[in-house]
Amino acid sequence: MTSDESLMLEFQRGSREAFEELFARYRGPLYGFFRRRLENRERAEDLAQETFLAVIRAAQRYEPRSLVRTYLYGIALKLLAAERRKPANREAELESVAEPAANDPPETTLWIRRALEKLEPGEREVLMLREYEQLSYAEIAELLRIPVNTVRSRLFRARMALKDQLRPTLKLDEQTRMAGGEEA
Amino acid sequence: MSRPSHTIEPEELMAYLDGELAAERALETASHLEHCRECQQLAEGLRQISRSLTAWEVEECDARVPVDFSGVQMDRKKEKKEVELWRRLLSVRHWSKQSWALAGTATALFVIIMSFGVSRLQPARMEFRQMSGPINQPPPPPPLPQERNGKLSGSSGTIGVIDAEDSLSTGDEISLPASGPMIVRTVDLNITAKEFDQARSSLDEILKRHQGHIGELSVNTPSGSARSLTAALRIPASQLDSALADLKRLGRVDKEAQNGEEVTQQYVDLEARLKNARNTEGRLIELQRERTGKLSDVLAVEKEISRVRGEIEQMEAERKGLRNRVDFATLNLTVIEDYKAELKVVPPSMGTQVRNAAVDGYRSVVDGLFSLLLWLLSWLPTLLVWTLVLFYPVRMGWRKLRQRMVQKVPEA
Repeated sequence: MTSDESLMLEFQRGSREAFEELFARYRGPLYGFFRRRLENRERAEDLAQETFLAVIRAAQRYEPRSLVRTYLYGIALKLLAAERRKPANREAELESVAEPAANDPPETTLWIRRALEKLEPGEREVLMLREYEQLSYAEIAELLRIPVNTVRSRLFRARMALKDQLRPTLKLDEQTRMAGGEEA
Repeated sequence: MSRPSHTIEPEELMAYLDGELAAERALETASHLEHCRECQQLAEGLRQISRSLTAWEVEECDARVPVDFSGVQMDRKKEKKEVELWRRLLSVRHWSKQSWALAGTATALFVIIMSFGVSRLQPARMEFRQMSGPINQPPPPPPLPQERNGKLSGSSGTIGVIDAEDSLSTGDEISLPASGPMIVRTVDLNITAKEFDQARSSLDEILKRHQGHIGELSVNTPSGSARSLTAALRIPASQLDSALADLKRLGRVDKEAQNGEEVTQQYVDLEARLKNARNTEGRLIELQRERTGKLSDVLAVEKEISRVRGEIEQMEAERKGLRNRVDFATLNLTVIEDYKAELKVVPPSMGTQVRNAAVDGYRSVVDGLFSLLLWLLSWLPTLLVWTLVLFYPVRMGWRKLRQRMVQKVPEA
């Protein structure tokens, strides 16, 4: 399997296939990145597209100094920050925290979302990048421009805080697993 | 959580589970984890958190390749062309003759336009200067006050026109000096006059002519040396230059120093503070009139009104002093007589000489006696003490010496 970095270099040389491969690999993860951080599904899709557009526009300037994955999430973080700076979105975000949307997700997801919302923003971002984007400590440190030790301590604090908040969910999971075991 | 017996920190345990621990330390952690029940619980808790977080799944993304890819490629090509064009434009070595000619024409046009613009702007700038007064030049003298009924008015709209009373009584805007800055002028002038008496009388005339007055004056007339006059003169700022020219004619100018202190900002600040204080006073008076509360409150308002009034009066006095300093320049004048010492060659008369000699003789006798008396008074106690101490030993010695002399005489 060709590495992301090779694909990017090929794309730089004008290979359409290389770009399509990169798009296929990261379309889902980038959409998930935005979807978990924004309320609006369409907006999450748009921003995922915009991330790739930014990649296309800046392809000539790409230098393989860091992983393509880090590069992509770096662009995504910037787009997200720009999106959050828009006043209308800020208001919508606040409203959404107070009142969930009509098409509510499952109860477990709601629990997780609410628990994550209670975390400190810095700790939440580190945790989400680790758990959902599966980035290493070093990659998170590079993206957020913080030391690796800070990443580790923030991650630990976030998980410990989450442990208390997710206790009912964890118990529920435990019961579900036990019930599943008994049935088996 | 206290973990005295643990060799692995909780954060390290978490990093181990995330696969982020160095190999050597990871081995130690794995070994510890096998035996430590507490760490096993912590590890399980962390795993559960990760498992529960994965429950938040997002739907499939419908996004397709973002745009017409060829369009983007076109953009990239266009961008590349633009970059190349700029690179060529900025690289002077590759300029053709036409490019040089074009650049030269553009530069010439720019210079012409700029010079035309500046020449158009010049009259406007001059006008502005006339309106606001000179910037880097010493300011012209303020106009002569025509009326003194609480209002000063100038003739040519230069400096020193202050109509503060009117401006404070009408409108909320703080009045600025009508035109130009407010300057407090001070001059030091030292003159050596050949004819001191004439200079003194001329000084009064000059002051009268220029509507000035004497702030302070002192004349020293020591015998055997030059006379001097020191004065602090207050002259209308508008008349300062002409008065100064007249004063220089009194004699030779030894020193002249002029100083101009701008007090516009100070005056404006003072006006603003005064206006605020007056507003406060007005509000307090209104409050006092409308509200009838407790006696202590009424007294507190009274006290505050009194305090604010005091401040207003102090500021008004300060403002008046400032205006006075601007309107009237201070001229510190020192006039020193050009002194010529007289040579006395006439000898004294015979009688005077005899009398003087007698007086000198008497004075020397008295002085000698007085000196002896003083010497005795100062040395007598010491002499008495030594006499008492040495009297008996000397007498005893003397007697012994005499006896020996007596004994030697019979033997002989």
